[in-house]
Amino acid sequence: MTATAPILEVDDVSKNFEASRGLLGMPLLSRKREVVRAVSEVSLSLGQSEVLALVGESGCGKSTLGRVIAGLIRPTSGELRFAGISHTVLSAAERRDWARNVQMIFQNPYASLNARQTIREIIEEPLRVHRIVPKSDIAARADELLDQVGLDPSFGKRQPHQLSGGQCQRVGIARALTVVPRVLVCDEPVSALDVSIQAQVLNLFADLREELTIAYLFISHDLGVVERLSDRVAVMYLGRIVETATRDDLFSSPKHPYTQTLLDAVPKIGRSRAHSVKVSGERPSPLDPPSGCHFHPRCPHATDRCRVEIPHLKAVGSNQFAACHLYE
Amino acid sequence: MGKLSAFTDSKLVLLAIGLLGITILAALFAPWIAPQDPYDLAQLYILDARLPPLTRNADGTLFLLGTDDQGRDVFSAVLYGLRISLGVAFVATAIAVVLGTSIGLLSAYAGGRTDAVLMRIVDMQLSFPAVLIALMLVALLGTGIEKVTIAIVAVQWARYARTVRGAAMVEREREYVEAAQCLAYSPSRVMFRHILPNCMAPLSILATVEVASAISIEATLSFLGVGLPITQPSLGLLIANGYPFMLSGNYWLSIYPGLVLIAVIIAINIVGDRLREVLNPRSER
Repeated sequence: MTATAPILEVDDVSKNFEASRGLLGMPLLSRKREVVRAVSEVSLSLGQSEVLALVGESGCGKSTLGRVIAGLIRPTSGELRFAGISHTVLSAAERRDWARNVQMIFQNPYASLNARQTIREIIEEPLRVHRIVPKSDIAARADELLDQVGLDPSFGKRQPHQLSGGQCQRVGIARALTVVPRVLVCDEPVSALDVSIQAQVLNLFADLREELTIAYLFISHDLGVVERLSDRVAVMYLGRIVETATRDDLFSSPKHPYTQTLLDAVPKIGRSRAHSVKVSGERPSPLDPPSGCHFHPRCPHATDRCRVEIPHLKAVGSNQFAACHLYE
Repeated sequence: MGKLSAFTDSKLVLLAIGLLGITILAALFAPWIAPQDPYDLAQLYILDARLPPLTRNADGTLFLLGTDDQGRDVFSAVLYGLRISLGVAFVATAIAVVLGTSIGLLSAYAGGRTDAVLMRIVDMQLSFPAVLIALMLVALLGTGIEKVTIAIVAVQWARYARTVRGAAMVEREREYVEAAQCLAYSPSRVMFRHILPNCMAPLSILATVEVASAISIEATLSFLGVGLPITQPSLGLLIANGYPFMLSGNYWLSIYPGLVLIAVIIAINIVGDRLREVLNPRSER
């Protein structure tokens, strides 16, 4: 897919959540157990310094996948590999290694900072815990990191509630950078910010990518943001990847009907509605997903085969893959 | 600073804090303030027995709050009793806070079966009246300062566990906890350095009010004669000792320790209520 060997690979990862739990956490006395397949059989790879955008509507499992990759949630099945090394079940020591390589930026800039710590404490804590730099250099390194994300070191004395949303997000980025990660999982990092601040933070992401060898998994529902920042895009629908392509291919010739619907939903001046697809109906509940292709109840091209057989990702272009029976 | 000024802009609260400050200082410096060491039997003179307040004995010594049936100065006894009552209450509260907070945090953080089992124990504990549990424990363990302290801890830890668990359950879902986990901090660091500091508001309110409750439990046990031994008279025991003389008109033996006890408990509750108002982000300041 990319010229360099992938730094992060996600191989056939699924994550199920159980929706109800009985007395004392035992299945005894519980009602019908309901399983939500938040992520099912997802395979992805992320090249060095590549920006892979993960798009999809809310509830499609993109945040869950991000948390699995960040090591916050254990996958129900499947495997994660970092630089070729498998981390099927993470032990405590492996968790620390994983954390030093894969970090996460969160959606809510205020909630992602501990309100009882100063900015300096927030930045210095990972340096101390992971022994990134010698004790004597910790303060200097923290200043350097603040500077790198565009904050004056004098911010160190402040507490999160004294900062704006954009500044808090910068602190969150600096905290993630303390451990010098190779992969940054960004879960809707700008969606809670004002539009003018969004642009500044996106510029910061772009700058950091040039300064550091760092790859992003950029989770977003905002296609404008995705188009601006990403190299490659993966589209998710109800827990499955339905299409992956380079940014240019995806935005110029989306193949999967769902991707076409998504792009069509973005109001843009001067864009022809060539791929216009009318979508009907509500998004199905992930508790009870449709059979076959999850998109078939809303798809204008659905056939009997779509109702029965699950489509798998197949090459539909040089760097484009779609999970749709239309392309066979 | 905003919180501090909000705290002190009520005259009643200032009065309560002043009263508490005086009683705590009086308890701490009792040996220097008290005219007499009430434990030193050599200093007692039986002919001074049951003198009413503000009378002098034959030597001209003034007894501010009168004397008891042994000729002991009630004012000195109240000071020393305060020392024991407050001491037991603060130590018991401190132990209960540490124990209850740890269990509450563990319960919230571990979740699942650990949480379910711990919280059912808490439910069981809280479904019995506090004094009843304390009475049963003291009956089993025997009397003495450390046994009364254990009884108070046993009664109170469950409240801290429940309160901290509730607050921690809310905090645990916040993104800063995920961020801490993402940085592979140890569970104890996440619990004590990140979640706990964000649960301090409800915890400090509860701890303040529970000091008052600990004082009253100790006083109740001592009054009932199962608390502290007669050689270590707390306020509750002083009330109990004076009780037989109430109907013979020697009211000062019980009334003065009782008034001090009530004043301390009310003052702590006023401070606790104010703390609740100041620390609650939803209440208007």
